[in-house]
Amino acid sequence: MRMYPAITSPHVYIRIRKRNRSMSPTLHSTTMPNTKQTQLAEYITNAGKRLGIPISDDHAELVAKSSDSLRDAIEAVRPLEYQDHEPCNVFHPVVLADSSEKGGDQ
Amino acid sequence: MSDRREDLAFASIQELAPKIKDGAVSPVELTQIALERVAKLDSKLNSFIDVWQDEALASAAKVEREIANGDYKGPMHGIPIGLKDLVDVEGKATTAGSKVLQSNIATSNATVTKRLNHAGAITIGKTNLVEFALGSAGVNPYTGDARNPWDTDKITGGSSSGSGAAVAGGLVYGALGSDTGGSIRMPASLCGIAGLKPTYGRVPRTGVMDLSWSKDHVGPMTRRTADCAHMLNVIAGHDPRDIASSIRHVPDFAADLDKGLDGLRVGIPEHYFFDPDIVDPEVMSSVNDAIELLANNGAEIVPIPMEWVSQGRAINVIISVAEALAVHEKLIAEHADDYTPAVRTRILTALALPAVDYIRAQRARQAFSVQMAEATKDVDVLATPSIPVLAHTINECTVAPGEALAEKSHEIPLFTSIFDVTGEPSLSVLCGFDSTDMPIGLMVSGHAFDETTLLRVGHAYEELAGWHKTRPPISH
Repeated sequence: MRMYPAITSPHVYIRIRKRNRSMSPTLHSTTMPNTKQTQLAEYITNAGKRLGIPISDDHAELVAKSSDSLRDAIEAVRPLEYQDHEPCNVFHPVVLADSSEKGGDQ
Repeated sequence: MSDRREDLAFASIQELAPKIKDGAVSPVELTQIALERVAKLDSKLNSFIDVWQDEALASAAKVEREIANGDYKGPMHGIPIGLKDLVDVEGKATTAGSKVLQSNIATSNATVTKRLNHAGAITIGKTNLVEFALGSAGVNPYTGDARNPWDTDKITGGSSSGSGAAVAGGLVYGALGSDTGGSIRMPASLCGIAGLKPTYGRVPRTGVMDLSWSKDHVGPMTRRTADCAHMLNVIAGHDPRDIASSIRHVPDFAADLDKGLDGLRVGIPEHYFFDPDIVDPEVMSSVNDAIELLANNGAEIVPIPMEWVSQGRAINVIISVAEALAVHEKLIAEHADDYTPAVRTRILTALALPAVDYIRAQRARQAFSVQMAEATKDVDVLATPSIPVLAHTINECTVAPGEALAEKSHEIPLFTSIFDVTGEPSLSVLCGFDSTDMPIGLMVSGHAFDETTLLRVGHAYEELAGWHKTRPPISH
C-alpha cells in the first residue's frame, strides 16, 4: 500500500484545547470577538437563505456563538502539511488496512 | 422481583443461551421479566420510547415453540433486546428521537432488524436517543432525558442513551446502538456496560437513519463483551443496499473469546489519550490499573508515540457537521421549528463551514487513517480510556433555549471519535468506578476487520477484573 507522508503539524488541536482545570470548566480557551461573531452570523444567515433554511438574526448569532468547536477544528486541520497533489479519494476516505496487510476492503 | 428473577435479568446472553437451548430457561419468562422491569424502572430511566408488550410476548411464545421443536437458531434465540429508535421496524415509527419524525412509520425492516428477527431475538421496543443521534451527553428535551441507572441525576452519554440505560439497568440483554463520534462507546462507558463499534462497513446501515454517511456505524451494546460477539455474529455481513457494506468474510466473533491474553501486544499511546491536562485523575487511575492487569496476565505492553493523534478529533468534528447538514438539509428547511433548539443549532453550525474545509478534512482523514495503521502495525490492540472525564450531571449538559451549546458535552467524545475517523473497530468495557460510584470505561481499539481480537481482550479483561458482577443501585 502506498504510504502517505506523516501529518507534521504539532499538537495544534491540543494547544487550542488545553486549559487550566482549576480555572475553567470548559475546553474552550478562545472567544470570538463580537465584530467577527456578527460577520459570521451574517454569513450563516446568507448561507441558510441559499439552502432555503429559515434562520432569524438572533438564531444566526446563537449559531455563530455555538461554532467554537467547529472553528477550532477548522483551524487545526487547515495547517496540516501534505505533499501537494497527493492522490486522495475524498469520497471514500476510509482506509481500512488490516493487520495482515491485505489492504482496503471495497 | 424475586432474587431468581433479578439474577435472570442480569444474566448474560452467553450464560442464558445454553439454558434456553436446553429448555431450562424460558424465553417467555425472560420477556416477562424484561417487560416487568420496564414497567417498574423505566419511569426513572426513560430508556424506552416505545414498548410492544403484546407483540413481544407473542414473539417469545413463538420462539419458545421453535426451540422446543428442536429448531434452535443460536445464542440470540429467545433473547429480549431493544433497538435504538433510528432503526426501522416495519409498521412502527422511527422517530430518531425527534418531533420531526413522530409520524414516520417504517415500511420495511432495517437489515439489522431482519437479521435479529431471523436469529430469534425478541425485540421489546425502541430505545431513547439524542435527537437524530446528534449529541454526546444523552439529553433529549423532546423525548425526555434517559437517566443513568448508577445515578439518575447523571447523564447516560449519547447518543445511544436509552440503549445504554436499558442494558445497564437489566431491562434487556442487549440493544443496538449507532456510533459516529462515539455514540455506542460513550454510553457504554458511562453506563458501565460493553459497547462495540465494529469496523466501518462491517454492519450494514440499510434502514438506519443517517447522521454522517462516511462515519456511521451500527453495533451491539450488552452487559458483557462476549454478548457483543454473539450479537455481532447475527448483524454483520454484506448487504448490497448499503454501498459501504463490506464484502469481507464474516468470522465467528466468539471463536477466540477464551484464548486469553498470552502473546497479545497491547499498544499504549504516549500522547493525548493519557494527557493529564485532558484525562481526569480517577479515569487515569482506573485505566492504568486495567492495563496493569492485562500486563500481569500475559499481554505485552508497547508504548506508541502518537504526537499527531489529537487531530483525529478535529477531523471528526468537521466531517460530522458537514454531513449532518447534508442529511438534514430538506428536513430542517421544512420543519426547523420542530427540531429541539440545541440540535437545530448544532446542525446549522455547518452553515459556517466552507466546502473546501470539508474536503480538507476528508483528505486529512485519509492520511490520518494510514498513519494510524502504520503506527499500530506491530501491536494487536490499543488500550486507552473511553472517555476522559467523569460523568456530568444532566443539568450540566442541558442547554436552555437561547443559550450556546453546552461546553461540557464537548469533552466526552475526544477519544472515541478518533476511531470513527479511521473506521477501525473499538470496544468500551467497564474497568472500575470513580469515587461517586459511577462507571469508568476502558477502550480497546484494533485493526480493521479484527473485531475478534478486541472481543478476546475485552472478555479476558472482564473475566480477570470481575467488575461486571456489580449491579447498579436501581436494579432492585
